[in-house]
Amino acid sequence: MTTAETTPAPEQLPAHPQPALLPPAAYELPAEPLASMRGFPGIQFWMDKFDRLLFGAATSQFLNILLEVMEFAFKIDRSYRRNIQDFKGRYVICTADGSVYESIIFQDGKMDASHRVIDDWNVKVVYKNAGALRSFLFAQDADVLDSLLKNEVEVSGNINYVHRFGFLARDLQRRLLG
Amino acid sequence: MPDITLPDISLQSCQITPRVAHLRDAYFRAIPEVCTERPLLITQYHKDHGLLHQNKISVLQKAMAYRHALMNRTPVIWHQEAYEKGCQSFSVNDRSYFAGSTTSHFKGVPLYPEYLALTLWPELHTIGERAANPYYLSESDAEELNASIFPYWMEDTLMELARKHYYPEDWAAKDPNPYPSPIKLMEYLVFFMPTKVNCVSHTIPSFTRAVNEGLRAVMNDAHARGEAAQDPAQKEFYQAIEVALDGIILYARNLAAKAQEMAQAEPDAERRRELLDMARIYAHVPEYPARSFREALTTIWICWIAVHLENANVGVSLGRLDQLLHPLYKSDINAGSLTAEQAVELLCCLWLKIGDHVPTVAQAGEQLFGGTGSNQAITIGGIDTEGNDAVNDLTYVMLRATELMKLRDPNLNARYYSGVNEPRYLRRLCEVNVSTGATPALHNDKAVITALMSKGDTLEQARDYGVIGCVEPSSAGRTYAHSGAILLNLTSALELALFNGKHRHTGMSLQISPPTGEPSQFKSFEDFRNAFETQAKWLIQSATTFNNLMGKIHQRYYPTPVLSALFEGPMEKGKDLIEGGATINASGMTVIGLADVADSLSAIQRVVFEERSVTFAELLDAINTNFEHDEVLYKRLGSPIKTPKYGNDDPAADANAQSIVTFLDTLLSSIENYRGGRYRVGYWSMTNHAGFGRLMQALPNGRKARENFASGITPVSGVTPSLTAALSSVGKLPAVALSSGIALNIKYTPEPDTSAMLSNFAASVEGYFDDMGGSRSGGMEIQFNVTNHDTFIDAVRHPENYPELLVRVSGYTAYFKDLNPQMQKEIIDRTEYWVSKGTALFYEPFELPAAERAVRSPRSPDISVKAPAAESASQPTPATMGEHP
Repeated sequence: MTTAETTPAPEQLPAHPQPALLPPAAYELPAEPLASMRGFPGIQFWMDKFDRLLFGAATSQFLNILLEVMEFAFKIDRSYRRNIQDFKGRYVICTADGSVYESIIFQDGKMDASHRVIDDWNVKVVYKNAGALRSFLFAQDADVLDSLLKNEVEVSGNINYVHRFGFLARDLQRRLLG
Repeated sequence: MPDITLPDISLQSCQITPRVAHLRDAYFRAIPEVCTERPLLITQYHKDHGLLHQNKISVLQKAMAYRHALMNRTPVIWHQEAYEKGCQSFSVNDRSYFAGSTTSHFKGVPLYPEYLALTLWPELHTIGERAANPYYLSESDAEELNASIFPYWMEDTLMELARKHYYPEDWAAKDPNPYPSPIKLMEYLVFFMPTKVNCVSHTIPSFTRAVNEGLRAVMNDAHARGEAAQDPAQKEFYQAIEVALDGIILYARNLAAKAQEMAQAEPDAERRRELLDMARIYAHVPEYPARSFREALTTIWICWIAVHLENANVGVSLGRLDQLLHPLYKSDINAGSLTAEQAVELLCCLWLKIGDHVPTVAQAGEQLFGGTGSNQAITIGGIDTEGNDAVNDLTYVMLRATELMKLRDPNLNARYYSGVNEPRYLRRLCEVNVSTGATPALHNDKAVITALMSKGDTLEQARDYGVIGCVEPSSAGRTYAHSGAILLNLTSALELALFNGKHRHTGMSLQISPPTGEPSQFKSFEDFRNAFETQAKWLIQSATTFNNLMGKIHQRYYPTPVLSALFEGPMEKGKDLIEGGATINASGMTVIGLADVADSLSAIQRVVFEERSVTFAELLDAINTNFEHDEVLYKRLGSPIKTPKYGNDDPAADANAQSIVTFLDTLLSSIENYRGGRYRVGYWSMTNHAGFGRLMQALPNGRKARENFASGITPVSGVTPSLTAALSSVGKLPAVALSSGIALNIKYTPEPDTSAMLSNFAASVEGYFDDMGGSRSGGMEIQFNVTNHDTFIDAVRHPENYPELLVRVSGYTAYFKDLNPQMQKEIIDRTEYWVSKGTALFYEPFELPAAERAVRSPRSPDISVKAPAAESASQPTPATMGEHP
C-alpha cells in the first residue's frame, strides 16, 4: 500500500532524534493523571513544550515533538495509557516530499514512534506543512475545514485510525493544558 | 368535492396550549445530547453474538440485534432534564401526550457506529465547546464511547468494510487505468459525496398496516408466509420480520408498564390520569389496530422510533399522514371524542417528538453542512389515487400545527393540483409560508406525476406520491428510493472539461479522468459541450459504481428488517428492502451547480465561439487568476445583458440548462442500481452548494473562487431581475428529467398589504405550475423564504434575538442561527422579489466578517441598487437594468 513517490528511503531521512531527556523527577512521579501534576517542575517542562507546540510557530519539528510528548504521557499517565491498552494500530504520517516521515506503532499498550519505513500501515497521512497537520489534529471549527479545503492533508487507508489518533492528540492536550 | 367541514380552514381559534408552549420553550432552549444507549446496546449484541469481523450479517441476526436494543431501551415516559448552551442542565417537566423518544434524551443525537459515529471520536471531550451547534456529552458517556464502543467498530464501519471488500482488489484489478478509483474520488470531497457511507434512509415507510391492522397481524402474516415458503432465505426473512416487530411491541409494552408504575406513585390526580391513559394506549398499540386518532398517532410514533433505531436519521420521511389518518380523525370528530383544537394540540406534541433528534455531524462537517435537522418530510394535500381532491380537514389541522410550531422538523410539503384542489387551499399554503417565513414547500402534482410515470410508476402509484427528506417525490410506502444516494458536484465535470481531465483542487499534476482535449484547440462550442458531457459521464459512472459497491456492502452487512416490515413489497416478495424487496426500486442522484454550469456553458458559447471576443486560453487565464487582472471580462461574464443567464427567459441560456438536465436524465436512467432499479436525477442541494462552492476555483460564468454556487435548481443570485422570467425559465425545464425532485428557492419580501400579497403569491405559484396547455411541464416545486433583508442582517448581528427564525435552505428548513456564515450569506444574498410587482430588490452584497469572506457575493454589481434604508424597507425600489460595461 505504500507508494513510491511519498515514501523516502531511510537513508534520506535525518537521524531520528533521541527522545528528549525526561527531567529526572518525572520518573519518580506516581502514575497519576498529568493534570494533577501541573506545576511540578518535571511535568511543567512538558506542558510548556506542548503549549509552544500548539500555540507557537508551526515548525517542521511539530510532528516529532508531538510524538515525543505523547510517548512521555503514555509512560507516566496511567489513565492516558488506558486509551491504547488493547489497541493495535500502525500509522505513517509524512510530508509529501518525504522530508518528514514517522511511523507509529501501537501495540501491547505501548507506542513506538520512529523513522522506520513500514508498508503494512492501517492508515497513512500525507501533509503539506506542519501548520496544516496541526490544524488537522487540534484546531477548532474552521481551521480543520481549511486544511481540507486546501487539500493540505491526504489520508489513505482506514480513516477510523485517524479519528482515534485525533482523540489521543486532543486528550493529550486536555490532560496537559486543561 | 373535497371533504371540508371546518368553518374556518385557517383554524385561528386553535392556539398553542400551555402544555405545548412549555414543551416548545424547552425544545428551543435545549441543545442536543449525544446518546450512547443505542450504540452501547448494538455494540454489546454484536460483540456477544460474534457479528463483528464477519463476512456477512444475516437479516435474522440484524432483527435479533434490533429486538435486543428495543426491549432493553430505557422506557422514558416524560423527560425530566435537558441541557442548554453552556452545558447547564435545566428541568424540562415534560408532559407530552406521547411517551418514548428516539434517544434516551429530550433532544438527542443518536449514534450509529456502523456508519459515521466514529467521526466524533476526536471531539469527545470538546464537543460541548463548539462555536456552532454544540452537543452535550457527559464525561462518563465520552469515556464509554472511547473505551467500550468506538474501538470495536474500527474495522467494521460500512465504509471500511467497503474498502476491505472492494478496494483495491476489485477496482484496481478490473480497471488498471491510471485514474483515481471511485473511493479516492470520494475522499477528495470535490467530486461527489455518496451518502451510503452514512445511511440509506431516504425513503417513506408505510404505516397503513400498522395503523389499520396492528403489528400483531403483520407478524401473523409473516409467520404464515414463512411456513409456506420453500426457500430457506425467504423463511429466514419472514422470521426476521416477526422478530423485529416483536421488538417494537415489547418496547411499547415496556412503556405501558412504566407509565402504569409511575401512575401508581403519582400523587397528582391529573398527571395520574394522563399516565394511565398512556399505559392503556401503549398496551394496545402498535400491537393491535388503532381505535382513535391519538392511538394512530401513537402507532406511527412508536414505529418511527423503531425505524430510527435501525436507520440513521437522515431523511426518513413520514408520507401522506393527512390521508392515512383522516378516517380515524373524522370518526373521532363525529363521535364527539375529539375536537379540531385537541387534534392540533396532539399534532403539536407529535411534531416536537418527531424533532427530538438531530443527525451526527462532525466538526468539519458543521462548517460545510451545519444547521441541518433530520429532514423528516410530511406530505399533505394533492389528489388521491383516483384523481380526486385529497385535501381534507386534517390537511388544515396539520397546516395549523405547523404554523403554530414553526419547527425545523418535521419538514412539511404540500401537494397542489391546479384545477382539482381549491384556490383557497393554495392561498392558505401561501399564508402559512408568510406566517412561518419558510414552510411548507409546494409541489406541482401535474408535473410530479408526469415525472414519476416517466420512470415506470403506474398512474395510481404516481398519484400516491409523498415527499422524501427535502423535496424528493416518490410513491409513498412502496418506492425504496434512496433519493439522496449521490450528491454530484456538476461543476467538477465542467472543471475536468476545462482542464483536460485535471482539477485545480487536486492539483494540475494529477490526471483525474480521461483527457478530452485542450479547450483552446476546440473548433466549436459543440466540441466543448461534448467534452463536458464526456467528463460528466465519466464522473457519474464513477459515482454510481461506488454507490452500487456500497449497496452491496449494505446487502451484506446491513439488512433492514424493521423497514422491510413497514413497506409495500418485501412481504410479498419474501425479500429484504435492501435486496430489492420494495415494489419500486430506485436510487437518486442530486446535482449541485446546475445554474453555474449552465451559465458557464452559455458564457463560453457566447464570448468564445459566437462573438470571439476572447479566446479560450484567455478565458482560462482569467479564471485561473480569479479575474484579478481582468475586471472588464469579469463584469461582462457576470452581466445578464452581455452574457445569457439561466433564469431570464433567455432562449440561449435556458437551452443550455435544458440540454444539461436532459443529458443527465438520459444517462442516469440507463444505469442500473444494485437492487435492480434505475437512477433518478434531482436538483436540490441542501447546504452543499455552499460546501462544494468553497472547494472550487473561479468559473467562466463570473463566479469567483470559493463563492457559493446557486442553490438547487435556482438561477444564480443577483442576475434575474424579473420574477416572471425566473419562474418561466425553471418552469420550462422538462419534468421527466427531474424525477428525483427539485428545490427552487425564491425569496419574497413581506409586504404591508398581506391580502394583496397573498393573492399575488398564489398567482405566482399558479403561473409557475401552469403547463401552458401542455407546451411545457410547468414548475415541479417551489419553496420560499418570506423574511426581509434587514431582518436577516439583524439576525446575523444578534442571533440571540432570533432563536426561532426559520429559513428554507435548499430543500430542508433550518434555523437561521444554526447555519454557518457562508450559508447565512447565501440566503441573505438570494434574489429577493417584491411579488406584487414581480421585480427584484437588489441589495449590496452582505459582507461577512473578514475571516469568512471566501464566499460568493451576488454577481453583476452593475444591476445592483443600494438597499433601501431600514425605515423604507416596506417600500423598496425595484431594481432596474442599468448601464453595463
